[in-house]
Amino acid sequence: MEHLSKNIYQNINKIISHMPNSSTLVKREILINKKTKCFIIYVTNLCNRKSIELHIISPLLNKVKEDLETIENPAEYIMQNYLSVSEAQIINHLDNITVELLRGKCLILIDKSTQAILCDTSDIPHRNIQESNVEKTLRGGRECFVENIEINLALIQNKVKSNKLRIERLILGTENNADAAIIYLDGVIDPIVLDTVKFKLNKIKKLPYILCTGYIEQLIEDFPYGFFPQLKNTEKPDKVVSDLFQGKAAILISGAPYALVAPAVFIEFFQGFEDYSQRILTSVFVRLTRILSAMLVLLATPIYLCVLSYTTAIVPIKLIKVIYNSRIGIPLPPFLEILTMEVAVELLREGGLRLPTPIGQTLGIVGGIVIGEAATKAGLVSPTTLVVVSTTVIASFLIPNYEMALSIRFLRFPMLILAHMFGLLGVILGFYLIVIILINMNSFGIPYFAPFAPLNYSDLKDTVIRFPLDKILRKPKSLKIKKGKI
Amino acid sequence: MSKVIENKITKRQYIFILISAVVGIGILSAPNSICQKAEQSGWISMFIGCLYPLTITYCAYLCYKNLGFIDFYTLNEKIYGKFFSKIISIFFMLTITIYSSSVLAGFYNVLSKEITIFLQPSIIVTIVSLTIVFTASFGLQSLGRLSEIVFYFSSLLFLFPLFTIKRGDITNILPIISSFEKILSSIPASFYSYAGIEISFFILPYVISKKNIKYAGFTSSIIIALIYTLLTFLTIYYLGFELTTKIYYPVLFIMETIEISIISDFKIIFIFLWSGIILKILACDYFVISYVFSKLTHIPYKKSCFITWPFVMMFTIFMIPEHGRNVFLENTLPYIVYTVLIYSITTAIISKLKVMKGV
Repeated sequence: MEHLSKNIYQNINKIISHMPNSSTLVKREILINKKTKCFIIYVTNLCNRKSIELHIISPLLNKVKEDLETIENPAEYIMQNYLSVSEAQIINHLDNITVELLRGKCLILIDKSTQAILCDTSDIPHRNIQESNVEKTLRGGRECFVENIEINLALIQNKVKSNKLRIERLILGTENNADAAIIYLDGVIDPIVLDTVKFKLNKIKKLPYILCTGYIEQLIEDFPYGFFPQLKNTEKPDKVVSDLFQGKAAILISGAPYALVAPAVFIEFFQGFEDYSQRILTSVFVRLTRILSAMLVLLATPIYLCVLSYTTAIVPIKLIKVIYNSRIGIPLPPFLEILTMEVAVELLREGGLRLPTPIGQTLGIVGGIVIGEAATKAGLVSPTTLVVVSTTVIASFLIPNYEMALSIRFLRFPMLILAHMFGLLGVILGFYLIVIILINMNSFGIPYFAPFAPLNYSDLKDTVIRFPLDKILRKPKSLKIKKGKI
Repeated sequence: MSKVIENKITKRQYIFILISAVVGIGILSAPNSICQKAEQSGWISMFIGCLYPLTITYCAYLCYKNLGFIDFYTLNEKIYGKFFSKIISIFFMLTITIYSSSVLAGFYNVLSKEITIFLQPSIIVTIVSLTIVFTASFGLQSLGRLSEIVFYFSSLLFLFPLFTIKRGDITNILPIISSFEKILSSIPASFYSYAGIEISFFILPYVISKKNIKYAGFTSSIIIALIYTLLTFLTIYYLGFELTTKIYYPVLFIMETIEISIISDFKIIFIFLWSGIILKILACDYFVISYVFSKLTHIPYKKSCFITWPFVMMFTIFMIPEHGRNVFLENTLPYIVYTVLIYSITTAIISKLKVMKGV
């Protein structure tokens, strides 16, 4: 521990040695009662200067009339009698002082005192709370998280006015010292799940830098090479709050406008937040549509390839005639034809993603129409293939979670290759392997395919179907780890 | 100790694993074999045949209840000594290998005729068996979850043949009792349809809650019997016993007659969906093979899964010719089934005697 010395200059030199290249570090020297030397140290663009002037410098210069050298603990005396800042503390060492100053705090050093005052004067520039561009909701709150962790915590606290709410802070990354927080509801979350989350976060503490939730997600998930997302990423505080009430933990990190929710089970990624605000039957219909769309993305093109190449007898002769006639003159074999279209679609989609929204949309629509039209006219792709591929593309947009949609989109390529190699058997085996992987995955000790496997009847009420809210507004049993649970 | 030994299953999963281990490819041809002797009363013989799974599951329950829920190998060691426990383990390993190889070979036969005509037998057997090895390598817990989920989704498949109710003819099943002699004489054949239930001996100790475990065995036996009886009854009701005895896969034949406007051959869709059930039964069988092998050789379970793979592959290739397989099974299955039956009853009695003697 680096204790403060009585020599004020020594202390300043120590601070400067911690932040040698900081051109924004301000060292304002004043004389209290025209006698006692004092330094006010802060990082200029992270603090509220007016607040420092008004609540720290002004009282110290104008109001203090006592001889501080005669007072036993001058720092404590000043803090208690003259400083009108809402948050201040006495420190007697310089450990973590860099982190504190970079958090926007202001340090008051007093000559011949081994104590200093650390005041919260932070005014870190941040983006205002806006409506989400990624997670659009038809019904529900519009606000979404920003890069400032304090604002994000406030958004959650404002929605959970409960004495069970717990916020545990921690610092991640030895170099960037990012502020992070674990949020949960005490007594609601399973203690084993909570311990697992804490244990995993503590394990990654010593890494040099962690910049956003994506880093944390990959570092703490059970299956880093798994196809499916094992934690939920959301930028909507109301979604986080809903998850907290279900017995989950949220992880926030400064600089990331997202929250990570753990644990997460497979079916959740197909549930939209507005499902709970809609009529029961319509939300069931929408959920079924999403599951159907995921199956379409995964199976439509491989089965189409099987029909074209191997198992023609599966479809009626009239339909197969239409398909075959549309392929007359197409030089590419069915597999390459479908693969080319799938790759083209992925190129368009990835291209559109990075562009500004209006341009991205235009690229997606115009690119899709133009390339599709041109490819069919040039005789490279058959119209039926175009219909099948574009149906799968539209279907992939129905999956509400982007990470899950990405995983399922990716999986259709190995499925296509399996279909090409082994026909329908390949599709069967591919699908079967996906199920095997799903039922063997865990997310923080919770079976990933719950409540289907292991089956939990009561939790089935909020899966593909949705029961009335009074039947499902409770903690799912699947999120509880019992002794000997399988 | 291998990872699988630490795995636990629920009572419900125990029921579904038992169902998974029995209901497979055999069900597609079961009406054919049972109607050879019992004629239109085949479905009655099929139902009476559930005495076999009921006996096996009850004996397994008695053995473990009497001697504590120890594992299969230790149970035999306690009753028959080290040498005979090894012999019994090898017998069961071979038995299940025969079951799984015949299922895999039968699956190949169905696939090669309907959906994978273009693939070599070795390729089909290799990729399917590797998938099974991969599945089984996750252990019993994974099998429990798989059996549970596949059963619920595949239950719909058992309902497909119900469409025959509208098209069938009541005279096909009349008179309900052809003759008592015929029904009784075909009961042994129905026993063979329930082969696979022996897995009960291997998984019972790993059920978490032992309360009412006896009834879990009964429940699974009754569910299996109902599935088999329903399918046999509907097949006879729709096709008549004469036609049923002439078609090797009568259930598949029925599926072929289902008409759905967008699908010209529903049989292919049925095989596509049925494959999940076949893969599940193979995984259950493969679990037992690897488990016993692991116990005998003290090789970790996961490694055992891969070591036993060529062995099962070899057996399967040998089983692929349909006629040869049928002849082989006709000659071996009765001995296997009766040996298992005698073993189960004897073990249950000895275990009871041991308890009475206070050993």
